Amino acid sequence: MVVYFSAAASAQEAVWPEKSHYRFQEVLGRKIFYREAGDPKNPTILLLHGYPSSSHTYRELIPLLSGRYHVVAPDNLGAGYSDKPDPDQFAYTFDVLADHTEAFVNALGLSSYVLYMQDFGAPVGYRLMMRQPEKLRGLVVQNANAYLDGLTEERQRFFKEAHDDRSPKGVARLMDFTGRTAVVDKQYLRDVKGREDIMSPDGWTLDLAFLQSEKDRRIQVQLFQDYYNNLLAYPQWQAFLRKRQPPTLIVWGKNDPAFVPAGAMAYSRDLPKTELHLLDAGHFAVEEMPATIARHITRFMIGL
Amino acid sequence: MAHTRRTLRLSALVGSLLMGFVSMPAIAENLTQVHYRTEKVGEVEFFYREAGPADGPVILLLHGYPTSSHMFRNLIPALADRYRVIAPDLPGFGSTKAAPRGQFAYTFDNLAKATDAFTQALKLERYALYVFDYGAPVGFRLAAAHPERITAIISQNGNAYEEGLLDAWGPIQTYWHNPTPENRGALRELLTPKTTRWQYVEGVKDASLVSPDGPIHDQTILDAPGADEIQLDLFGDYKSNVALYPAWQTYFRAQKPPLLAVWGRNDPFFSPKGAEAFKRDIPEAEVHLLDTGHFALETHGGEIADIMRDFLARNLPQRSSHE
Repeated sequence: MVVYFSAAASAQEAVWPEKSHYRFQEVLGRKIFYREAGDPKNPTILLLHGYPSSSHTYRELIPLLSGRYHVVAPDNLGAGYSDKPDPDQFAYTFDVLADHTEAFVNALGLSSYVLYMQDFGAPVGYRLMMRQPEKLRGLVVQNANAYLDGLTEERQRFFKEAHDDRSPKGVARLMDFTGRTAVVDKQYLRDVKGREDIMSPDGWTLDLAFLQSEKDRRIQVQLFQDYYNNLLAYPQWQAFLRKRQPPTLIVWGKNDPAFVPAGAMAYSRDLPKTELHLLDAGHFAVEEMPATIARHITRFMIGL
Repeated sequence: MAHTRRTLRLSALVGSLLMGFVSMPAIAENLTQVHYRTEKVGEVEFFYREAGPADGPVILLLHGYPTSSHMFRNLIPALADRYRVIAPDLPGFGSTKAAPRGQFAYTFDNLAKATDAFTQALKLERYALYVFDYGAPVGFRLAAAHPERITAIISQNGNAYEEGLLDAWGPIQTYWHNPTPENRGALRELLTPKTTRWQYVEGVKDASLVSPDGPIHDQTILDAPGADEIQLDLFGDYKSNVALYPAWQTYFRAQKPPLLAVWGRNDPFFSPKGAEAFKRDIPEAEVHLLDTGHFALETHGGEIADIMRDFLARNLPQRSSHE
């Protein structure tokens, strides 16, 4: 399927990226925004985004893959351009996000896909995997946890407290994680100290545009409060991986103090054949080195 | 093969992936790496994007209203394998920090002065200019003042002729002729999310090709505190650009810089007549009209990169290692 070019030929001929489309799909009475590029007859890669971002985080990866693959990247309910039901009237949980992603996949008629997951994308993607095992062709894991090894004890405590402490003080602490300083300095720039100039401000400019209102931010707080339930589900996901052995590529930014590299290495306990690449990048590895990640994905896809 | 393939000159964007297969991954990664930098020039702290080889021919990308160098986010990697590409945010836009209105006069003369100082701070002795919308009156001021620095001009819906101005300018022209508070206030409609989105989709055949990221990004600029009065000042001062059209046309006739006009022909602000007009003063000018709107890069980025690369390869001295 893939075309190898000689050095001379590659200078003149290329698989040009397909144009990207920006669309909405109504599911469960709500609009889900998604980016789509590439011929639907090609294998589908479903890109699931993390916090505090949206499918915007894949804006550079998509054209690097769309010449060969059908790429689909939705925004979670409550994130990006997707509908945001009022958090006073609606309880946001990862189950609910997965409900919408599952309905979205079905509405688009995707019969088979490779899942790419980062951060919040993991608890959504692994739920999808459990619900639609027959559609799963493979996994690409980028700073996406399914093992407690990936979370420091301090981090595990954080999620437990976020879940248990619903006091105004506890909520206020979580709200702080949705502010400008937390997003820019403590997330995007945290892992690129001394080389901040490689990080595009477009990431946080767009993310913060979607976290402007108090309600926008409380949606994400509700998800922090629910996150501990993901830790409790890890054993089920691990059992699935052990039993089904889905082809898995791990590309993990190793400078990520939130999801530490031990979380990447832990996958080999259940998936001994998995391909692991620890990248010299942080939590937002796809913002830092989309071309490197695209090359790994392309090689991985050839082998499927 | 199921997917569409076109034979094209190599884009760095695609090339970076392909070059991985011919064992040059490190080089490719470096070439596609965009840097997001700042440069303090006098009172203005410019934010700019830069990519490409330090010794490559320079292309200076000048953005339009109401956006920033963000509009070049996809074009930059498509040029940066060969060219040193530099895209500043103009004062009043994006991440560039300039003094507030009252301490800095937001006129096109001042935007051009600041941008000129920026090019000198970066020691850009010679460069090709890419001008879009507001980038045109800034860039043409630089070119007319320093013709020796200009290697080529790419105008993408960047106007220099009266016949290029269309009806969408009506309310702004009314304000030029009668600068009353009422006529100024009427222009606030242009600062709304609705108008911002309209500028992106008007004249576009398939709106699903227009990323919502552009309008959302741009609205963060227009909604910033104090931005409204700055933008209204610039609407008012745009008449100074029209007054300079004859001077720029004289410059085109005298210097005949290699010029490529690649325009969205359904732009509600600038008529394709403005693109064709360049040929009056520069008979060799190349004109490409694309079936799209004002923000032609959003729907036709690949096509524009391809046309530019062909034009630049013929008109710019290339680095010897790339010949």
